[in-house]
Amino acid sequence: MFQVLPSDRALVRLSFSHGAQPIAPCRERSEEELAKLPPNMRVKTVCPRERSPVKVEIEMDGVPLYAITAAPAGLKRDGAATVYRRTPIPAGRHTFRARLADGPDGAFTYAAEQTVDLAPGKVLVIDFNAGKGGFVFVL
Amino acid sequence: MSADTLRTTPGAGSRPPWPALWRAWEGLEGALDAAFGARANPLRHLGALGFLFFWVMLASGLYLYVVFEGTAAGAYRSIDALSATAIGSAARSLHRYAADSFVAVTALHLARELLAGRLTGPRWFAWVTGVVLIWFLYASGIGGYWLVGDQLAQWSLIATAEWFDALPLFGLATVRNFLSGGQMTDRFYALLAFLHVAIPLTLLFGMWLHIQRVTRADVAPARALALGTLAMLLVLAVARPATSMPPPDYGAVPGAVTVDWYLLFIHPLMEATTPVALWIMAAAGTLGLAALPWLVGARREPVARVDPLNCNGCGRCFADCPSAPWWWSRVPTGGAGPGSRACCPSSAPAAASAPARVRRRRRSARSPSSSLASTCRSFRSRRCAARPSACSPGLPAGRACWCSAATARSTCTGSPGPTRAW
Repeated sequence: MFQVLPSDRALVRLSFSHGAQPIAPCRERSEEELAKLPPNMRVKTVCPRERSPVKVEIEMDGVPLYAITAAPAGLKRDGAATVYRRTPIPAGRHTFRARLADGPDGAFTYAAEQTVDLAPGKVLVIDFNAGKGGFVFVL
Repeated sequence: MSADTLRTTPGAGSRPPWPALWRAWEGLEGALDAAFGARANPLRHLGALGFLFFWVMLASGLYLYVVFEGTAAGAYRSIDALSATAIGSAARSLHRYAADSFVAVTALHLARELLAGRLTGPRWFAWVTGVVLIWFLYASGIGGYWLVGDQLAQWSLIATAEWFDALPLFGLATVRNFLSGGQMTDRFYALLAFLHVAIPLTLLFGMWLHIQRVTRADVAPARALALGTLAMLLVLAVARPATSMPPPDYGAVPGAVTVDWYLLFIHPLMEATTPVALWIMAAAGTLGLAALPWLVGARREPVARVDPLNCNGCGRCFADCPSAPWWWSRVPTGGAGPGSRACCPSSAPAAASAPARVRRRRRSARSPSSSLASTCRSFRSRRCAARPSACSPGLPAGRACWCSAATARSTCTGSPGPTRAW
C-alpha cells in the first residue's frame, strides 16, 4: 500500500487556465502610418498580440498559500496562462481568500473569499472562470 | 553433448564489463541448471519468457476485451462483474500477473545481457531497440490500469498527467481534464481502450525488430519451462486474484492505494521527488542505457581461430554463435583438400565464384551444426588444414571461432555479412 495522503489531511488544488488582457491597450494608427502600409492592410485600430501575465494569490486562514505569476503560453505570449498546484493541508474548516490580476497594470481585478469544511481526503479545487464571475471553489 | 551442459559464452564481440558479476550470474545459472536443467532454466531463457508473457497477455486480453465496456460508467462495472466470475477473475489476474512478470523478466534480461557484455558490436541494435521497448512496455502496463476505472486508475491518471504537464508540450494543464468526474467521458474511455490495444501491438512489432539481428533468437521457451510458468501464473491468479479499488471519487484523494510496484512505481517516485526530477531520471536512464554499447566499448576477444588439430567436432562454436557469421559457410566439408580455403573468410565475389559443389556445401553448412561436426572430424582425421597460414589472410579481427576439446569453450563473434544470401 502506498499512502497518497496522510489520514488527517485534505488537498487543495489550484487549477485554472485564463487568457489575460493584452499587454497594452489598442491604439489608432496615424494617417502617416496608414499611408506607409499596403492598401489592403490599412486597419485603423491596432492591438498588441501579447497578453499580460496573470498574477494570483491565495491565502488560507490569513496565511499566504500561493503567490504565482504565470506567463501566457505561446511563442508570441498570446495564449492563456495556466496554473496548476496542489498542496496537502490539515483537514478541517478553513477560509480561503483569492485574488487575481490579469491586466497590464497588475491591479487585482478579481477577488473571492470562501469558507469550507474539508474532511480528511477531500479535495478543494480552486478554479477561475472569468465568464462565471471569477473564482470558483469546487468541493 | 546435450544442451543441458552447455556453458554460455559471455558475449559476441565483447567481454563482460564486470567479470566478477558475470561469474556470479553464471554461478546462479549453474545452480538453476542443476535444479531444472538448462532447457528449463528460466534465467537462460528470459527473452523467451518475455514472449510467453506477451502471448498470455494477448490471450487473456482478448477475453477481457470481449466483456469490457469501454464507457465512463461501464468500465468499472464491467471489470467488477467480470471479477465476480471464476474464469473472468482468472483471466484478469493472469493478465495482470503476466504484465508484472514481463517487467521482471525484462529487467533480468537487460541485466544478464549487460553483465555478459552482449551489447557491443552487432548487438547494439538489439540493445538499443530493447531500451526503447521499455517505454512501450510501461505505456502498455500503466494504460491497462487506467481501464479499470477505479481509484487506483484515478490516482494514476492524475499522476501521469501531472508528470506530462511538467513538459512544455501542450501549453495547458492536461491534469485539468481529470479534476472532476464529469470530464471522464465515454469517448475518453474509448481512446484509452484503443491505446491499450495499439501500444501493445507496437510493442510486439518492436519485439520483432529487437531480434532481427539475432539469428537464432530464443522466442519460445521449452515446453517444460512454458508449462511450469503458466502453471505458476495460474496458481498465483487463483490464490491472489487481482481486485479493483472502490469506484473513483474525483472530489477526494484515496488515502492509500495498492500500488503495483512493477509498473506503477514511477508515481511514488514522482511523489518523493518532482515531476521534473522524474523526467530527468527517465531521460538520463534511457539515454545512458542506450549509450552503453559505446560507453562500455567494444573490447573484443583476441582474434580467434579454428584449430583443426584440437577440434573434436563438438559443434559448440557453431551452437554458441548468436549471429551465424557468414564465414561458417566457408568451412569445407569432406571434399576440401589441404591448402583449401578452409575457415578462411574471403571476399564475397571470390566466394560467389566458387564451384557449385562448394557453394552447395556452404549453404548446407549455414544452419546444421552436424555439418560442422563432420567438418571438424574430417579436419582431424585428415589434418587437411594444418596450415595456419592458409587461414590467416583476410580474417576479420575478432571474427572467428575456436573449438577445443580441452576446454570445451567456444567464442564466436561478428555479424551476418553481405554474403548470407548465398
